[in-house]
Order: sequence, then C-alpha cells, then structure tokens
Amino acid sequence: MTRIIPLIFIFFAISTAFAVSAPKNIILLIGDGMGEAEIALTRAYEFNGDEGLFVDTMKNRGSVIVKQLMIDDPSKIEFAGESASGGTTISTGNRTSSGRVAVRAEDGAHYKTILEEAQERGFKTGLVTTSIITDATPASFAAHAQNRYCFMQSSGACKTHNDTPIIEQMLDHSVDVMLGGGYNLLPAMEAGGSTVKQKAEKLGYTVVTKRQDFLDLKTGTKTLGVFSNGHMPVEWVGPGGKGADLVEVDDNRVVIFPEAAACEINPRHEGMPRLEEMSKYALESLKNDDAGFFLMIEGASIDKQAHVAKPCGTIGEMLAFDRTVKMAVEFAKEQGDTAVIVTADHGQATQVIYKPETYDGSPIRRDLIPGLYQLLLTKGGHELGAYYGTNNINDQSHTGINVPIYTYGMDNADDLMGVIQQTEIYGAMKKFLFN
Amino acid sequence: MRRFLITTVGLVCLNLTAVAAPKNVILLIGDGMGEAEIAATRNYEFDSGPGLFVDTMDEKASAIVISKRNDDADLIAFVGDSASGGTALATGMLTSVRRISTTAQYGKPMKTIAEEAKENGFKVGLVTTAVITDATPAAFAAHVNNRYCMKGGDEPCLPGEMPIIDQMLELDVDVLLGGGHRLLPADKDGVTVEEFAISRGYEIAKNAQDFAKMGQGDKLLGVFSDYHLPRAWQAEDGKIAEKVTLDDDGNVIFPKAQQCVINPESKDIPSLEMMTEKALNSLSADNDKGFFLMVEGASIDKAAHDADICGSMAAMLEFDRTAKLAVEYAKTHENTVVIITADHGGSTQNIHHPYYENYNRTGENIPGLYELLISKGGNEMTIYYGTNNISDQAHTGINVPVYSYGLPDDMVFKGTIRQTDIKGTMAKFLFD
Repeated sequence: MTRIIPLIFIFFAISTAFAVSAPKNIILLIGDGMGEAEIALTRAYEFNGDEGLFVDTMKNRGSVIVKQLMIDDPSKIEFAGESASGGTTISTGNRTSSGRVAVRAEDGAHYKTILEEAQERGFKTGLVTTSIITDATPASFAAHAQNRYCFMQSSGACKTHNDTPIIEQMLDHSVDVMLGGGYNLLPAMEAGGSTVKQKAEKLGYTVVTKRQDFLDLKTGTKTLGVFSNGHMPVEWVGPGGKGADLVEVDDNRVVIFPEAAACEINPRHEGMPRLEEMSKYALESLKNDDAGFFLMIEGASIDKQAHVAKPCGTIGEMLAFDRTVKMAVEFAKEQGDTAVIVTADHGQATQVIYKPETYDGSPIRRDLIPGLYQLLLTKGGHELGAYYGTNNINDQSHTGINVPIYTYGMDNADDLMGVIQQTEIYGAMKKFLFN
Repeated sequence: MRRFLITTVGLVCLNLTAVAAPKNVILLIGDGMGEAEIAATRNYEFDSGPGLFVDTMDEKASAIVISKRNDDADLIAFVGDSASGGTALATGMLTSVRRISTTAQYGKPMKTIAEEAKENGFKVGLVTTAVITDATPAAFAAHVNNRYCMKGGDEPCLPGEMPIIDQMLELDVDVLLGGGHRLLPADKDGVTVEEFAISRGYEIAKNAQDFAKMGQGDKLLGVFSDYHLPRAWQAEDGKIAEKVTLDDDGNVIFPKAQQCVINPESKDIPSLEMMTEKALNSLSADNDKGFFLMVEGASIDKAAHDADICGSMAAMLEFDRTAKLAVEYAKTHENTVVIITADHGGSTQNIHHPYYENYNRTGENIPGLYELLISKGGNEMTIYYGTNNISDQAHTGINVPVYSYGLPDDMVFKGTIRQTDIKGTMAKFLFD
C-alpha cells in the first residue's frame, strides 16, 4: 500500500505536466452522405464483403441519429438530413434547417463553430474537401450564411438573405490551410474591391491551382489551394462512363438485365491532388508545438455521386476517404494527443440489392424494379447490384438513417459510443480539445 | 498490486459461479431490422429522441451481411434473406437464400448452435411472431434445401426430405411459440403433427386462453394463428404505402399524413413479450445446465416487404420491449447473455419531406411507393419503398446492428464484424 501512493503521485504529476505542455489535435473526417449502404457497397465492390476497409478495423464505433428542422416551421422536425444542416450540427452542436450554414433556423443568428473556438484558443485550423472549398460542409466550420449557395459576390443566392459570401468569410477567418475545388472563386470580386485571389494574397495566403505547384509547397505555408472549376472530378466512373439507369425491357416488357461490368478510372481526375495528398499536406502544415490544431477533411462526392445514381463514383470516393482515414490514424498514433473522428453528415439513397426474383418464377417486369439500377462486377468477380429508387430524373433523396461514427485516440471515446444524437459530437470534440 | 487483488477476487468469483450457475444465451433477431427500420420507428414513436431500449445499450457493433450464390457456391451475393441470415447466425456459415442450415449448391447439413446446445444438455426455445416453421426459427432446428418445406406434403420438400416442423419436434426443442395452426393437422409418418407432438410430450396451446394456462408440460408448442401472427398496427386508412397520384399537370398530389392505429386482428394474440416471458420461465425451471433461446420479431421484415410501415414499426416496438425484458432477465440471472441483431436489412427509407423541393414534384421524382405519416409528436415523416411497385420490396445488403449485454469483456462484439462471427461467440460462452 505504501508503495502505491507515491506511484500515483508521480503519475499525476506527469500527466498534469503533460496536459499543460502538449498540443492537442482533432482530425475530423466527414464522409458526405456516407451511410451504411454506401459503405457496404464499397466493401462489396473492393473487398467482396470482407472487412477490408480501414474503418472496419476501428473498434470504437457508435451510431448517430440524424435529423434537421423544417425550413418553414423550425419548431418541427424533418427526419432526413442535408449537408448544411448536418455540417452545422457537427460544427456547432445545434440543429438547423436545410441550406443553413452555422446559423439558427428561426432568425439566422450565428452559432459559434468549433473551428472558431479553436482559433480563439490559439489552435491552427484547416479545411480540406473534394468539393468546391465553399461547399456546405467546410463552410459550416468557417462561415455563417442563411443560404449555402452564397459562395461569392456573384452568387444569386447571396441576395435572398444578404449573406456575406462564404469565400470572403473563410479568408477573413484566416483558416491556415484550405484545400479543395473552386478556382472559379479566385477572379470573383469581393467587398474590398479586389478579387478573391488578391484578397487571399493580401491576407498572406499562397494561392495554388495546380497539383505540382501544390506538391512543391513547403509545409507550414498558409495555403489556399483550389484545383478545379467547382467540385473536384471524382476518381472513378462507371463502366463506359455510365451510371445506374432504368432497366431495359424487351417487347413483352420483360426486364433484360445488363451484363455486370467493372468501374473505371475517371480520366478527368488526372492532374488532381488526391484527398490523401491534400490531407497529408494539411497535417504536416498544421502540426505545431503550441496549442495544437483542428482539421476537418471531407470526402464530398460520396454523396454527390449518389445523388446522380453513380455507384462507381461513390465507391471511388469512399475508398479515397477510407485511405485518408487510415493516414489520419497513423498520424495520430505517431503524434499522440490526437483524436481522429470519422462520421457522416447524413445518409443517402443507395441500396445494395441483387436481381429481383418472383416466387413463382414468372418474368421480371419493370414494375418489379422501378428505379435506377446498375450491375457491377466486383474486384473478386461477383455481381453487385446498386439501386437508387427515390427519384428517376434528377436527384436521389437523402435519407434519415443513422450514420456511423468511429473514433481513435480520444480519452473520452465513450461519449461517442452506442447510439448518440448528432449534436453530441461537438461537445465531445470541445471536451477533448479544450479541457 | 491492486490489479492483482481484483484479478484474484475475479477468479474466485468465476470459479464459484462456473460450478453453480447455469449459462443462458438469449438471441433476439429483428427480422429485416436495419438501421432504416429502427430510425423510422424512433422517429414515429419518439420523434427521434430517447425511448427505444436498444438505443440505451452500450455495447453496439455492426455486422456485415452477405450470402452465397446457389448456382455457384464460390460466388457471393451481397444481399441475404432470412434463411441465409438465420443459417449464418445459427451455424456460423454462409449459405444461399432460401436454404435452411444446408450448404449452398450442395445441400449438406450444417450443425446449429441449438443442436449443440441440446447435445450439451441445455434446453432450447424458439419464439417468433411468424409461423413457427419460418426461416429464422427453422435455421436453428432444421436442415432443408428450401425454406418453404414446412410440413408434410409441402411442394418444395425434396423426396425424402423431412419437413421443418417434423425436424423441430424430433430435435425436442423445449419451447416452440409462434404462429401456425395449419401445421397441426399435417401428416407426420401416418399421424398428425399434433398427435406426434403430444406423443413426444409437448403441451399444446392454440389460443390466448390455452396460452394463459400453459406451462405445466416439459415441452411447449404454442401456435396462435393460422400462419404468421397478425401485425399489431395498421395505417388509419388501412392502406400500405402506394404510388402518389398526379394532378392534370403531372405534378404529385401529396397524400394526407396518416397515423398508425391498432390492427383489430391482433387482439387476443399473445404478444412477443408474453411469449418470451413464458419461454424464459419454462426454460429456466429445474434447469442446472442453462438454455439457448432464440426470439424473433418477424414482422419488421414481413411488413416492410408489403410496404406496410405501420406494421413494421409496431413489430419493431414490440421487439424493442422484448429486448428490454430479456436484458432485465439477464440482469437478475447470472451468466445470462443477451445478443440482439438482425438477419438482413430491408428497403424502408425515410426520405425528405415534400417541402424539400417546394412541394413541386412530378411522378418521376417519386417512382416508388410513398406514405406520409404524422409522428406521435406531430411531425410529418415521409416513408418510402422504392425497390418494387407491385408485390414485394427487396432486402438490401447493408450492415445490421449487433447489441449485446452480459458477454465477458474479451468476447464483446466491437466495431465491424461478420454475421458469421456471432455463432462462435455464443458457442464459446455456452460450452467452453
């Protein structure tokens, strides 16, 4: 007994000293629209249903309840989420209605974000995405707008609520590293009378638009990297560039199932930095010996490709996101005092089905498979049916399904286990970072 | 030093209990209980707030569900059914859809956890809201090539293949509760199934009155409806989700929001909780070895196939209350493990409210079956089934949740697992 007490004392002394001196970091990875269905589709395609994804190896796993408020009556709930409201819930701990970026649904009052609080406490910050850098998810951390599409002065969406353009707010926040799509933002005029690019440079940013220039950058540079016009092209496309479609029928209206075929590399992705490359650069740049950093990384097109019923697009982006998670966890292992939190903002319409069957063996007709379907041939040579049934012409619906949350390196990991509300993530991040 | 002490105390306790207390596993299977079906129920009943018992369970993992192809057992189908899922849970092995604990393509029987439990002297119970011979209970106590080989004379039975109900009775499953009046008069080697069951020592109940008195016999066979038990709820207009109607301009006329109401047919049918409680009492009486009990909430899936959201949610709520009952039982009975999972996902989707596109939608925007509900808290919710417009919604290949209570720390399911991992853990807990 007498031996235990001094030991405990020493332990306390060490941990207290540590708490004062060691920086703390959060790497928050948001797979946009990354529901269990999108994960299962990817796992099936790439790993034949085995637990081959890196996220499959993460033992601390919870399940997050997603919802938002109704636009016309915020006292009412809508049981499906969206990226602006989901981003806001994660970044501020508050629910809002769809399209709103870190503002209250009722009156547009600003909610303070975790990124803003981290900056106030001297943390470095970064935002990395595969969408336009001003898209709803990154915007929810470093801007406040009633209309998520108020990207720049020329956006018509700025007029609806007199929002300040998101790109200007992000630059004014001096987020240390911002990487994604959107070189079309650079020539836009801004409130001060210069262009966005000039404003960024005046604020000390190095502005890059080419992958090679970006790779040549010294880490630690204050960087605005925008590599495409709008969202970045995705890594993969479907067979022959095609996505899911209505099944064909013969003269008797009997379904002719397509041949299963494999996903292809998207030639348009060439020349783009990959999500891992952007994230690696951000991690190395933000690493510091003072307070620490907050970095949000978004795999944006898991969702965007599901909206347009392109399963290969979703799979390619999900795999890139998963590789980035692995890299983040490896960084955290090496660095210590770094929490990796992986989650999604909302679910999507993707469904993995096989081929419809009838119990009596009668022919399959269109009404037995009314939505958009694609039969993929997986890496292991198995047939994989991807299905989108919520819309046949333009835009699949988000769904109100729980999304997963995985964590690594959090001493308060229990806060994010079991079934939680999406609003709880913000508090758990604050507790880890600031306590 | 302190850790050493705790370990010693722990070891002493373990040694004491290992000798003294029987070991029990209660496996609850929500048929087709994917996250979407759970979310819809949470939304309707609790406006997405707290209320579901399973939401309070700390130990939660996610299970990968796949099956094999019957035309080539080397090929995977990334979607399962209740037969392949039940088989995966009962035997730890993959098979193809419609197979009951037999191998894909070749039809070889695979030993189930319930059979191993019987061999080791444990009692076994199967409780369901489906016909008692349905795929999920069958996977634990029978081996057939086609799940619809339920009773003598059923067309899908291969020559010489013993139907599911006969196999269940020959295994002496101690408690069988569910639906299935139609099974009783079927032929079993020249006598009826009912006569055969009586000759094996079964006490038989056919209605709520019988059920209330039931429990004297060593073995119980209770069937409370002709086939599957009726669903507890239906929509107030009595309809399932359906195609939206269009106005003259081709725009969608959104339907009026519905509430769910009690289905009068479900009156006088023992609930899943009541059946489970009866099973627990029966299985634990004069039992120093322990038991394996499988409880199925069958209509979560069956109603989803029919695009009947009210039926599906009522089954989910009943299943959730039963999960609570099982965990409370485990809290007051040593060495009792509760595992709650699903066999596969369904096709239910909770999609955006009509306002999302300013109420301006054409038929092509909503190609499937649609229903607008009003939740208990007065919020409108949109339920959608898009995989089939005529008869039968599909299953989906999505992970399903796995909750557990009472497993030793080193056996708790964590993170992402395979559905086939669950059987090994149950066997290890019961038999090692």
